[in-house]
Amino acid sequence: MKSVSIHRVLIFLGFLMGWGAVLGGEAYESPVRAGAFQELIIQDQGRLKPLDTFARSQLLLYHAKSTIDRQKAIDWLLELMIAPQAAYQRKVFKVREKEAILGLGMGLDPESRYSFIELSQAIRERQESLNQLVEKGEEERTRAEGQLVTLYLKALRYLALSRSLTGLIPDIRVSNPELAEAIGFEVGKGYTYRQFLEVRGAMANELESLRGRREGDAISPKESALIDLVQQLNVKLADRSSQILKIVMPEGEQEETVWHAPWELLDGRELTPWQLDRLKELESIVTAFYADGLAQVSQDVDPLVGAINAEVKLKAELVYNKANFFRNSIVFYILAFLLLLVSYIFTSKWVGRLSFASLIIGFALHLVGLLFRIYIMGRPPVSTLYESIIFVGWVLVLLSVILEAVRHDTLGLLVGSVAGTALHFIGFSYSAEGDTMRMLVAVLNSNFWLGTHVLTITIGYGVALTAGLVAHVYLLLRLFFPAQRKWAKEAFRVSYGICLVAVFFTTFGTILGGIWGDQSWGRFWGWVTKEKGAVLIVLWLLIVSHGRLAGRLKELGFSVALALTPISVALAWFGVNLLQVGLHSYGFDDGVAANLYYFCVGEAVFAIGSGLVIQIRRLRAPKAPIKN
Amino acid sequence: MSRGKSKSTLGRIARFLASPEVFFYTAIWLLVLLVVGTITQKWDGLYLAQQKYFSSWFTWGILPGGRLAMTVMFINLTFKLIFNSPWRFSRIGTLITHSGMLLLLLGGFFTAYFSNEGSMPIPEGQTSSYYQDYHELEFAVIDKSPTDYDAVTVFSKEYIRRGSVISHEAFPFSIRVRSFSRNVDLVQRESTAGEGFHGLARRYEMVSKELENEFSRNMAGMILDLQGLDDGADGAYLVFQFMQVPQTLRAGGKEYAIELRNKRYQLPFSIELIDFTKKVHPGTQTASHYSSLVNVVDQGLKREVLISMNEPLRNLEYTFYQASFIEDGPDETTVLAVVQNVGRNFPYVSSIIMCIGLLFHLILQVPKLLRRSKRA
Repeated sequence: MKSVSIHRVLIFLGFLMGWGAVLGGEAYESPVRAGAFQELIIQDQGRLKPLDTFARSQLLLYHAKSTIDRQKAIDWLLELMIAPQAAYQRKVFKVREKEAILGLGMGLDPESRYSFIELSQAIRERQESLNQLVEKGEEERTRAEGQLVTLYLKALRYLALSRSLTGLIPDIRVSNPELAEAIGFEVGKGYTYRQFLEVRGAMANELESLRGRREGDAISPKESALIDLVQQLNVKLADRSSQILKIVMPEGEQEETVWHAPWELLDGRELTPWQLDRLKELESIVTAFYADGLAQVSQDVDPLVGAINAEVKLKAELVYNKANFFRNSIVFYILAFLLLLVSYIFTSKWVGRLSFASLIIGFALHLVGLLFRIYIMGRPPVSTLYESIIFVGWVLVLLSVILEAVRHDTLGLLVGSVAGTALHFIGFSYSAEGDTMRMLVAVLNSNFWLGTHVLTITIGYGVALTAGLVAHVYLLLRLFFPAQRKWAKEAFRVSYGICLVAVFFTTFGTILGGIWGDQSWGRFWGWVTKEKGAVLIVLWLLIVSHGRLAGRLKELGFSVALALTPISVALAWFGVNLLQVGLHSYGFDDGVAANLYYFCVGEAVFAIGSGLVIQIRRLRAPKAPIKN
Repeated sequence: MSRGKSKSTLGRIARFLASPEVFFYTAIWLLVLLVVGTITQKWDGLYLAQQKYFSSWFTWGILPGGRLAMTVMFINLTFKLIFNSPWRFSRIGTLITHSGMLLLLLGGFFTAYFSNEGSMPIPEGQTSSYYQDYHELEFAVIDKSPTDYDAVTVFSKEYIRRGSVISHEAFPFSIRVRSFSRNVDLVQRESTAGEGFHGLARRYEMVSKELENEFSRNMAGMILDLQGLDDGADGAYLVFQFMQVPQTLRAGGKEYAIELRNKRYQLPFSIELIDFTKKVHPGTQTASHYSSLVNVVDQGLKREVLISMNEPLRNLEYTFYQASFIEDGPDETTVLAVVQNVGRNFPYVSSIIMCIGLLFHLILQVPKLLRRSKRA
C-alpha cells in the first residue's frame, strides 16, 4: 500500500516538473569540487550521516559504483543538484537489464551506461504505458515489466534528487526596475525562491494591482514582468515534492528528531529563527557553488560544520569512507596469495614470510575497518548481511593467521588469502545495494543479543567455512600430490580440529539464539527458517564428527563430508533469506538465488567428484595400503 | 566400550542403543526432515510444516517424524552415558557435553507436552484476564441469565468435527455439528434460505477453502443443527471464528450465546493496558521500539509494569512479551504473547553445561590437532 502511494507521488512529481524541462541544456563542462560540502550532515534511513556517505550510497544505487569516472560521489551529487543540466548528460545509469532498455525503445550501450537525458526522452514517449505498468500489481508483472518499472521509478527518484536544492539556487531574476524596486530587489541579480518567499507581502500588493483588469487593457512593462516572475516561481514550486535530502537540522536534540528537506520548509510555513538561519547558511553555500563550482567555499560552510565538529562519529565515518579499508585489505590478500604461489614455485622461505606479512597487513586493515564500523554504528558488526560477510571473512583470516603462526607450513596462508579475497568480493557485491550502515528493526535492535547470539553464530559460520576449506585443501592434495600422503594427513588433522571448534561456536550460537527467542518472544525454539538454518550446520557438523567416531567415515569420507560443510553454511546464511521473501529486506533477488545454486552444485561436484576419483585411483592401484 | 563386552541379548541391545551409529543415522534422517520441512514450508506454511515433520511421531504414513527421531537420540544418549562412557579425564568434555544435550532434549519434551502459548490483545484502557491459543479452537456455550456473571461451558477441539453432538445436562437444548471446515468464506445467498435456517445461515452460505499458508489467517466455520430451542427456532445455525457478535439463542426461557473461538486460557490475574507506545527511527517507518505500560491486577492489588521488546513481564509461571500491535485510527491495541512453560529453564542450564563441556573438549583436543605432528 505504502509503496504504491510513493510511486504515485513520484509520478505526480515527474508530471509537475515536466520532462521537457530536463531536455536540452548546455554540454557538460568542468566538474564541481565539493570540498567542505561533504562534511554536511544529513538524516537518511533513520540515522545521521555525512553527506559524503549519502552521496556514495545514492551513486551506488544508480551507478553500481561509489565513484563515477574517477570523480567522487559527493562531486557528482553536488553537480546533480546545482548544475543538473550538465549532470543529466552524464552516463550515470548502469542498467544491466537489457529488457528494460529495449522496452524503452533505446539502443543498447556497450558499457550498459545511459544518461538521464536518454532515459527521460524514452520515458516521456511512453509515459502512459509506464504509469499503467506501475499501477499493475507486482505479482502480475512479468520479469521484464518489473525491470522496466524499477528503472522508471529509479529515473523518477533521480529527478527528484536533482531538484532537492532548487529552492535555494539564485536563478530567478527581475528584469523590470520598477518591479524590482517595489519588492526591494536589485535588477538583473539572481534571487532564490526562499528570498522571494520573504517578500511575499510586497509581491501580493503588486498582484493586487493586476486584479480588476479587463481583457484588452494595456499591460505595462512592470505588469508583464510580474506575470513572467510569477510563472518562474510556479515552475520552481513544482519541485516542492523533492524531499529526499533531509539536511536542515532541527533545534536541540538532533539524533531523535526528524530533520527537514529544504523544500519542506519552503512550503510557505512560518519558520523558526533557527530554521531560517540554517536555510540561509545552506543558501549561501549553494549560491557560492552556483557562482563557481570550483570555488573554495569552506569558510561559508563553517557555521554548519560547527555542529559536525562535535560529532566525532560522523567525522569517523568520513575517515572510514575515505580510507576504504576493505578495498585496501583485499589488495594485500591478493598479494599474499601471489607471493605464496611464487614461494611454492621457487620454494623460497623468504617469499613465504613476505606472503605472511602481507596477509597480516591485510588482516590488520580488515580489523581497523571493522572497528570503525563498530564505533560508528555503536553495535557489533554482524547485523546486516553485508556486515556479516565482511566479519566472516575476518574470522576466516584470523583462524588462518593463527594456523600459520602455529604451523609455519603455508596451509594458513593458502586458506587465509583465498578466503579473505573471496569473502571481500562477495561483500562488495552486497555493498552495491546502497548504504551498508542501516538502522535495524526493533526486534534486532539489541546490542546484547547481537553481541552474543549473532556474533557467536557468525563466528561459527566463519570457523565452519575454514574447516570446509581445509578439507578442500586435503582433497586437492590427495588429487594432485598423491605421493605426499603426509601432507594430506596433516590437512586432515587440522580440518578435524577446526571442525570441533566449529561445532562449539555453531552449537552455542544456536542455543543462544533459542535463549534470545525465549527472552524476547517466549519460545526457545519455533522451527522458524533462521533457526532451521542454524541447526542445519550444527547437525551436519555433528554427523561429520560422529560419523568419524562411529567409524562410518574414514579419513577420505570425513574430508568429503567436511568439504560439503560450506553448502550448509551458505544455505543457512543466504538460502534462508531467499525462503523468507519479504520478511528480510536484504537478500532476495534472482542473482543471489542463482549464485547460491551454482555454489552448492559446484561444491557438491567438487567434493564428491574428487572423493570418487581418489577412491577409484586407490582401488586401481595394485598395492595400495588398505588402511586409510 | 567399557562395559560393552556382555554377550547376553540384553547386553547386545544396550550396546547397540549406546552406539554412535544410532546417532549418526538418526541425525542424517533428522537432516532430511529438516531440509524437506524447510522447503515445503513455502507451500504448507510454518505451522503445518512444523506439525507434519518436526512435532510428529510419524510422517508420510510410516516414516519416523522429528519427535520420534529426537526420542531415539534421547535414548541413544542415555544409553551411551550409562553403558558406553569412557570415564577418563581426556573425555570429560564429551561427557559433560552429552549430559547437557540430554537435558536440552528433556526440556524439549517438557515444552512440547506441558507448555501453552497464545496471544493476548488488549485495547488501551481495557483489562483482560485470558489469552487465546494461536491455532487450537474451542466451542463455548454461554448462559447469560445470571445477572452478575456469565456461565460458560467450553467444549474442546475433539467436539469440533462433523457429526459430533454437543450437549450438557444444564442446557435445555442439544447441538449436532452438521458440517465443519477449518477455513471458510461466507457467501451471501441469492435469496433467503427457507424454513429451518436461522441467524446468519438464513442469508449466508459457508464455503470451504484451502488452508492458508499463514495458519492463523484461517477462519473456521460450522453449521449446527439445534434442537430444543424456544419459539420453534430449531434448525440450522452458522457460527464462525472471529464473529463480531455471537449467535444468541433462547431456550427454556433463558438466553444463551454460542461461540466458535480460539481456545482460551484463563489467567489467575488480569492485565490492564494503560498506554502503548511505538517509536520509529526518525524520518522512517521502521520501528525502533515498542512498549506497553500495563497494570497487573491481582486480587485487587495493582502493580505497574512496562513490557517492551526484549523485556517481558514475568508473573507466576506466565511470561508476557510485546509481540505486536493493532493501530486503528487513534485507538491502539497491544498484542502480548503469553507463554506458560515449565521447561523454560532447561535450555539455560543445558547450554551452560554444554558450553563448559565443549570448552573442555576443545582445550584438551584441538591444540594437538592443529600443531604440526612431530612425524611431519
